[in-house]
Amino acid sequence: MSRALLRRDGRGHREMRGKELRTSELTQFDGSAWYSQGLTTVVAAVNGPVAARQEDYRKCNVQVYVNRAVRIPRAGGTDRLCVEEQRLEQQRMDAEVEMFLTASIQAVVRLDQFPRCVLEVHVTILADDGALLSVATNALMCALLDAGVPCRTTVAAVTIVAFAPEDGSPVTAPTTTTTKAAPEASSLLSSSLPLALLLDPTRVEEVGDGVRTCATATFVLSNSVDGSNNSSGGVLVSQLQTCPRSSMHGGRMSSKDLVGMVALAERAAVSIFSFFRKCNVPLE
Amino acid sequence: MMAHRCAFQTIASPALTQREVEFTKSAWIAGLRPDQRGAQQLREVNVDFPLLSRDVSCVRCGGTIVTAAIACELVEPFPYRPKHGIIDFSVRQPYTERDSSAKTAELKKLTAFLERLIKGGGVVDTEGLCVLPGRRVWSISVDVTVLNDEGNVTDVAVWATVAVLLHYRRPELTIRGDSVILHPTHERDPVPLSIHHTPLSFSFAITMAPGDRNRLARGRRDSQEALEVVVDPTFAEATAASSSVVVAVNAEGQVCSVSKSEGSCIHLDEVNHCMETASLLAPHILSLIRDAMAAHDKRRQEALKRMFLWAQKRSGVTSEATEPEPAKKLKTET
Repeated sequence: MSRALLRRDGRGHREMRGKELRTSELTQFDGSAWYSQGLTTVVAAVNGPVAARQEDYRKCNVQVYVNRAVRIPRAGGTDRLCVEEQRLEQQRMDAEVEMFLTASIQAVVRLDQFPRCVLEVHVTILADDGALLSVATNALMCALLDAGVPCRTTVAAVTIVAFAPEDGSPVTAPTTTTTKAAPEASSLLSSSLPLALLLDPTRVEEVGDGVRTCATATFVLSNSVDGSNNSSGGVLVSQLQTCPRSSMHGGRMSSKDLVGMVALAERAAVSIFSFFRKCNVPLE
Repeated sequence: MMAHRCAFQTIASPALTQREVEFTKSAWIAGLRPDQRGAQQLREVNVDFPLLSRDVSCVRCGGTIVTAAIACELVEPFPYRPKHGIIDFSVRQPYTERDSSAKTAELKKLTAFLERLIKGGGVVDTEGLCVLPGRRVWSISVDVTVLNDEGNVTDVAVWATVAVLLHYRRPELTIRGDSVILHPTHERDPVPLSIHHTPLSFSFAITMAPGDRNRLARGRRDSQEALEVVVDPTFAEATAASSSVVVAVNAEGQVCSVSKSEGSCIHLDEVNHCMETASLLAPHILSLIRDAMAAHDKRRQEALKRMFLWAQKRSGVTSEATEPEPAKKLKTET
């Protein structure tokens, strides 16, 4: 009865993985950061606003290049088709990461101060063990701060997985209720069973079991204006990926669950901001 | 020749490049190097395996940082080579606005050098990667990413590739007739790749062409000798050198590859000098790789112990009050 809800790597539901941050290692770039959460490791390098060969001179252009440290090995025969499909899928995911990071940069960096320039960001994904979007965004933020690019605020990114809890399976609802009481029972069921949330998921938790997983969301939250340690400044960029409606719990995402996810992300961003602050302690 | 090489590799400011080239040449004539190293001295080399998994290695040589990652899959072979596995190399580098378009050609040349050295040199036997002829072979993909470039990328890329090939473990197989069983890592310990020898490459910069050196010797009469061959050239030294030689030797001192692609002519005794210097330096780099592998194994063991320490703290394992309850339940059920 008093069994604690723990994940398979020993963490609670609201616990993040260990973080590691190294900056200013790539000397040929203006700013760089080596950031990892658990086994997910990303190297971000920023070349500050430089003169660009482009046609739009009104504001700074943003170029994000995403590379994976290892490709899918080659194959011959009929396996070649499977490998090509996997590579296309990986390129599509890399393009999604590029678009997300470009939106984050446009929200944070004051691009209007640098006309006729380009801001280049190179992101190398060394290992992907879940929560890739948030780790890449945090690495990018540290690289921008290392490069001294003027930003409106600092941001922290958090990934959350929502899934249906163990108790109260909705399969029993249609068999016990009559046709007249069905709408009341369904509304009561959805309100009495909120979705469970997992903070900072691994790849196994992101994929889930295909039955109970509802959605995976990544939120980019800004720092609070008064500098206090117990709140954040709101969501700037977000990405929500829900399971298809055909699965058992697909399409069950309601606005109440989304508000709960945002509240949990805001509380988690405070720990990331304090981690960034501790890494910025000057040497004596 | 030198004007072409300067235009070939432009950095932030051409004037600064010219000053660096002139300073480097003056230092060589005086018998010194710009960063006060000896002629046969490498920069500080650091080999690391940054992740807990065994498939990523990171080598730093001064300011040059190169990572190598490996992936292994069981795939169908090519129809024209049914008994040979597949091994593939790729070198990538972040492109900046300051780089010229010749960087891509340099990376392709480096990829071809890696392929020639490791695949053509017999380091990994592709026939040993065959599992079932015509149906299942191992396919290995090694990706080298140059994160920071401060000269001598060729050597650091080869060291990172050799380190990741030595350290990687592939899953174990059980073959019965035509069926292949792939055991996960928690069922059976993974198996290292069969590496026949470990070639390590070293780049050398030839400071002056023979004609220039003869004219310089005729002009000067003091006993101080100028440097002729320097190992591990930095970016400025590579720009100032008249030609470059890449020598690959293995731990037993055998020469695996010699490569000279551009620049002036060189003497045969200079090539012999390069080979002897590389034979002296190769055991040092190999011992660094072995030490990094041992340190990474120790770190993995400690991580596993911490994982099991968490499991021992669960309430169902340590507390004694819950132990009699299952026996009671079993008795009541019977």
